[in-house]
Amino acid sequence: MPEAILTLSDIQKRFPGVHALKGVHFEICPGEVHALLGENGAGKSTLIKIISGVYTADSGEMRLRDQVIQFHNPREAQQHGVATIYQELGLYPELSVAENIFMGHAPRKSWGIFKPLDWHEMETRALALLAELNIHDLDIRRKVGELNVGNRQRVEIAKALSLDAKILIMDEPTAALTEADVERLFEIVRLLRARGVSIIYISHRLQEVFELADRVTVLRDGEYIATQAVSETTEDQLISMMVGHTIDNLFPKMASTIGKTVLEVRQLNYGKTTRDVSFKVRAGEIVGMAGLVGSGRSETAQVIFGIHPAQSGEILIDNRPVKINKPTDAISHGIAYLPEDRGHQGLVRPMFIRENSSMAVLNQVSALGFLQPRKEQHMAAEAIQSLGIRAFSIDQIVGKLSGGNQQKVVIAKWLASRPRLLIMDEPTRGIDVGAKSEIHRRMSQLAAEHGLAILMISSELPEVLGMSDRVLVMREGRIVAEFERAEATQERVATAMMSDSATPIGALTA
Amino acid sequence: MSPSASSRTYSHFIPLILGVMVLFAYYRLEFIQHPTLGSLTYPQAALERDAQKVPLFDADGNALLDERERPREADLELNGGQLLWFVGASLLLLGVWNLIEPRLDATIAILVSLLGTLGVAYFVVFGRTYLSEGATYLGAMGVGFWALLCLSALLLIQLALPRVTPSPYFKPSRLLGNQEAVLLFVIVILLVGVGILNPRFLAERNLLDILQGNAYIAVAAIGMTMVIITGNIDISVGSLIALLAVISGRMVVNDVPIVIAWIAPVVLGGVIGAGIGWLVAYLRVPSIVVTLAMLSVLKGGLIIWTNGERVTDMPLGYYLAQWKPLGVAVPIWFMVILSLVAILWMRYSGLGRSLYAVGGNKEAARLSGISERTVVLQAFALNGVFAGIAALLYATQFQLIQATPPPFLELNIITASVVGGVSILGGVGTVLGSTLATILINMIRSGMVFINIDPFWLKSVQGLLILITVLADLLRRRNQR
Amino acid sequence: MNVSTKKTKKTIQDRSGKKQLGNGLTSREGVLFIIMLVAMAVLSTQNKNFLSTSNLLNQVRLLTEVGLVALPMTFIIITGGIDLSVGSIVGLCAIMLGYSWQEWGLPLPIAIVICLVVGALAGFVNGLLIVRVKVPPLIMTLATLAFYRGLAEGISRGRSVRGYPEWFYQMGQGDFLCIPTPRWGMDWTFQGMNWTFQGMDWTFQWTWCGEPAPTQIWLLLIFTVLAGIVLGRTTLGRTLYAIGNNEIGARFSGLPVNRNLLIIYTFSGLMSALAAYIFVSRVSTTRSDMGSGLELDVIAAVVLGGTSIFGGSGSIAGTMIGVVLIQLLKNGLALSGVASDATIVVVGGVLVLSILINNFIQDRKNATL
Repeated sequence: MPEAILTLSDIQKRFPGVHALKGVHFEICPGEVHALLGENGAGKSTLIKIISGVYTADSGEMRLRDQVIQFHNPREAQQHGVATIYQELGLYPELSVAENIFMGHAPRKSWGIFKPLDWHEMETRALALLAELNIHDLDIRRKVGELNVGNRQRVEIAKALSLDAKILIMDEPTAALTEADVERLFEIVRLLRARGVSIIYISHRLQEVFELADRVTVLRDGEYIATQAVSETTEDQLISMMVGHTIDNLFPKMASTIGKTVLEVRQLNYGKTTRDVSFKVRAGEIVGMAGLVGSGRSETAQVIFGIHPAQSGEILIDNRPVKINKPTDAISHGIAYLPEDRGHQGLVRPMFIRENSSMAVLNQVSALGFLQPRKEQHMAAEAIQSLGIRAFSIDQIVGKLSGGNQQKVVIAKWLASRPRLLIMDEPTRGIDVGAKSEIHRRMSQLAAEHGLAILMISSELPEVLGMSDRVLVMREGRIVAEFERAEATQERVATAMMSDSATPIGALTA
Repeated sequence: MSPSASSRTYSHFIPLILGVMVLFAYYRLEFIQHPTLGSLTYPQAALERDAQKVPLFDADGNALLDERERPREADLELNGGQLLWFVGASLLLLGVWNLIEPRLDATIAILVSLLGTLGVAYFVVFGRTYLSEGATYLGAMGVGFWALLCLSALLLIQLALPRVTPSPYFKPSRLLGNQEAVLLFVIVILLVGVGILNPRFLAERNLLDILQGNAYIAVAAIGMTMVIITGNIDISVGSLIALLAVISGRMVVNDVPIVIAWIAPVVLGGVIGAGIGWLVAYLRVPSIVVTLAMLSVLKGGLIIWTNGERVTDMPLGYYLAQWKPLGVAVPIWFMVILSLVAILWMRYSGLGRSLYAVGGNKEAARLSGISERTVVLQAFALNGVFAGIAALLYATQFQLIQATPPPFLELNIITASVVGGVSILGGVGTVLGSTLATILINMIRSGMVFINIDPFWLKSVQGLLILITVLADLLRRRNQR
Repeated sequence: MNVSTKKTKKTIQDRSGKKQLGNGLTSREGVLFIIMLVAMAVLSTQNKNFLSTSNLLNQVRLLTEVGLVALPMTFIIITGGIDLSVGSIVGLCAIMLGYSWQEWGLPLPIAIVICLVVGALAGFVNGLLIVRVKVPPLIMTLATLAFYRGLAEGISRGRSVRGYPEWFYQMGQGDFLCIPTPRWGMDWTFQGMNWTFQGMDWTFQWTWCGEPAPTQIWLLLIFTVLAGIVLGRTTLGRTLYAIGNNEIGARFSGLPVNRNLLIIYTFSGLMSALAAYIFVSRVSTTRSDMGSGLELDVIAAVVLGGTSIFGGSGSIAGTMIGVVLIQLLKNGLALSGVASDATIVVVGGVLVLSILINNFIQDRKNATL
């Protein structure tokens, strides 16, 4: 194995409330494809953000070509040869492909004091770069905004090459690509590897890891687990390294009587993220929805909630078909949606707890359009009491609360609407253990004692397995597996999420 | 595959072949009575007058003949021969350029084709009359009309031509997304439409006059385009122009050397622009607010200073805008030359491209090493410089300089930019577009007079134009996604 | 866990949904109020006439138009939008008022109604395109600024309308009911650096019905109170703050964002129309350039009153103080002999300063979020 070009040792990183990296090691050699594996929240994103200069490590050492280094901003990292492939962020939609590739370092002619951009040279070099990546069908004069996702990604890669990047970071690069584009990406990765470029490859799709990577490093809960050569390990081994840990969090699941069907969706369709989706959720039941990022879980939930009206298919509440075109419709049918992006979608952070907790049910705290402060205060105080929100006043600004408490406010807000169906999207993401178990307890209570139907979307397998009566697995917009509580195991669910070998399931039996 | 290889597709030869065919036809057709180049602009009546050598205009281009003695409308007829000749010549020119084009950037090719035809047309007509004694009536379909018609054809063909792979075929649909092409379409339609309704509209003297008084708007629009591309706006530029004009006038009235009085507004404009840019870029005050405030600060400041009095009695050498080198007024020269320089600068300089970068994607620009603050500051400073030049033209146009800006001047300038294809969301737009848009708007205004629409409606038309352009831009973006 | 609802009760009554630096006197509105008092005191020493009731009442007349339009503008800016077309809507409505009365021969009351309807419609069009087509409010209202002004000019063809009947002027120039007036007298003199106090004559008299009140003041008062209640105490107001702080969050909470935005832009048009009516009534004539530059005064007043240009915070009380301050500024300058056109310089400067100060305060708050 040649000398490592980049080494990270004992990297620690903390955020308020979360210990993201607890002494992680990572190294990569020139001409190596090194995969980084782990569940959501394992620390992969944080690690590569440190490598690409978005964050700086709290402690630990990073060496580039055997020199200790620290990047204070992404530009610095770029100058040292580290490039990240984004999908949306890095390109100018209204400018041409060639210009996008060379923006900031365009070739110039030299005419005395004038140094005009040499467009011809730019275009020639752009074509050459693309040719090196075996891309011959991209019109370099087209506007990037008109290209599809696959092409845009290729432009990004060409851009990184133009900067003479020696280390390329790809974070879930195949998440939004078609099969053909995925193949082309693999080709490009192999080409780059042959040229001595190092590639850090993050993906949940294990078959990709086995197809492309030389080595793989597994992280779990911010801890470094192992680094192995891909040839010396198996899929099962990797999965158990990723998910296997002692469940020291309590998941207080209470037994509940499962009642009638509250929500049923049939053949629901919306774009590529929701394809022929059918399932049921019954009163008192917690249905867990597992799947990779981009598998369509949140999008499907948002379709049910009315953010994007369905293109085809039916939604039935209490066995009656209903039309849901906007969130207000969904709310009136007793559906509540706690969004994935707590800060931007779930709350209005600059406002008080009191204001947020009543936001979905303003009509309950007002009479004829006039807000009744006393009712609102009462509602907020009750919310704080019953959910155990740690705040000293109902007029505290929500943005200043911890993640766990913020989530409790979101829950309170939606509980106030007295829903029959609660859709919770990543309810405990980024929350400390203590608050997590409180939220889980409350969830259980809601299902068991109040007969709520709960659809819980989560990327944390222990949570899914610990809380759900049934587990649905989504992949690429379809439901590919369903397990009853008894038969669901981490390996089975993870396999269904990531492996190609599971086949999609059609309509589910009750 | 290199760019040069692909351009050897057959479609690039089409213009050349067409041009030759058309010119050939022209020379063979019999209804052309005088097969020499000089005759193509002379209708029958004018030919006769010419034979008597009665001058219609003096050396400065001022009319000698009385209105009543001017040729009747019957003389202003469409002459197929002229049309043919110009089309053929343009196509020939374009064809030649296309052979050389691979080694030259597309923008240069377009510009050269544009100017080439204009230049040829000009010298064919003006050159002859300029050199010969006296001036003769250049009537019939004025040179301007034909030149514009052919330039449009040229540009349209150029823009529709394929570039690099994949499609080697002529694609008219490419034009729809291209604002400059759309503008040219509209200009041509307008010319033809109004020209049919009232042929006097097309006399090239009229067209040039239209432009002369308003060319300074195109100059100011150059700066405005730069600012809007970065995602900001400047609604104070009208007051700035008025202020700078008055400063220049006052300087010269107080015996400051004329040249200094010419340069002062430009420099001062740059300084003030930089000040505004600093407030926007470094203190992060939204540009709409800064310039809304500046609007009144400048306007009020002007009134306080002048007490409402106009500036008059400037020395004779001051009136730069009234000069007519080669028969064309200075403002038009400025407009053409500055537009050209700006077009080239925005295409070939790092700062020019970084305007697009900052307006298109701030984050990516930062990653590319472009400092948003510097770029925005410089954009506003340049805007100030162009406003200063516009002020210069405005000040030296007439014998007096008003103490108040022409009403809604800033709106006219913004309209020119927006209709020219600049998107208020930033990242898009060209100076070619804004200059063409100024020409178009002036044509609309003049055309409205010629077909007897009340000019009072002009402002609503402008407002509508902005709206339509913005809507079209939004729709285009939505379809893109 | 102790949640103090008792303590918060008091603060709720003080706040009603807005962000403040403190409570009561130290809040931004409080500070502005003090500034206003100080300004009045300063102006009164500069010019004897300033504190005279006739001058003050006249100032109130003048500020009504700005004040009425500033109310919906506050709503709009709180949601993070802006409406630059208010001045042009005033012009258009003024023209429609005169035109429909004179050219179409409609009875004047109907013409007034038409004026109001046109204004509301103009605002509605703004709102419609902003909400449905998602045109940025800046460019939309910039375009309608031109378009509506153009319509006004086109319809009027530069002519003005005069000769309204007597009762018409009641709104703008007449009086309605009366206002209480305190009368006080104080006489003191200072001598140079020695602040010797030579005698003080103190009289105080309170008359309940002292002076006739300008008619429009009642209109302004009613609408101000209404707007204040709507903003502070209704679901609509709460929704506006939510939109300004996080539009996406508001939508995801099921709030009727589109409907409310449409309402406030229509309201803006309506208020502009009302201002047009009062304006015409006050100056006895209709011209197509009326309302030019109104947007500057209104936006300056709103921003001065503490509304953040980026949206999310603001209050009607603050806006009203802002309106008064701007008017005081103009009055003070006029009384010192500065030409009326020149006062816009100062207003412009004030606008920029207010934003800078707001920015500064906002930065300090954001640092902790």
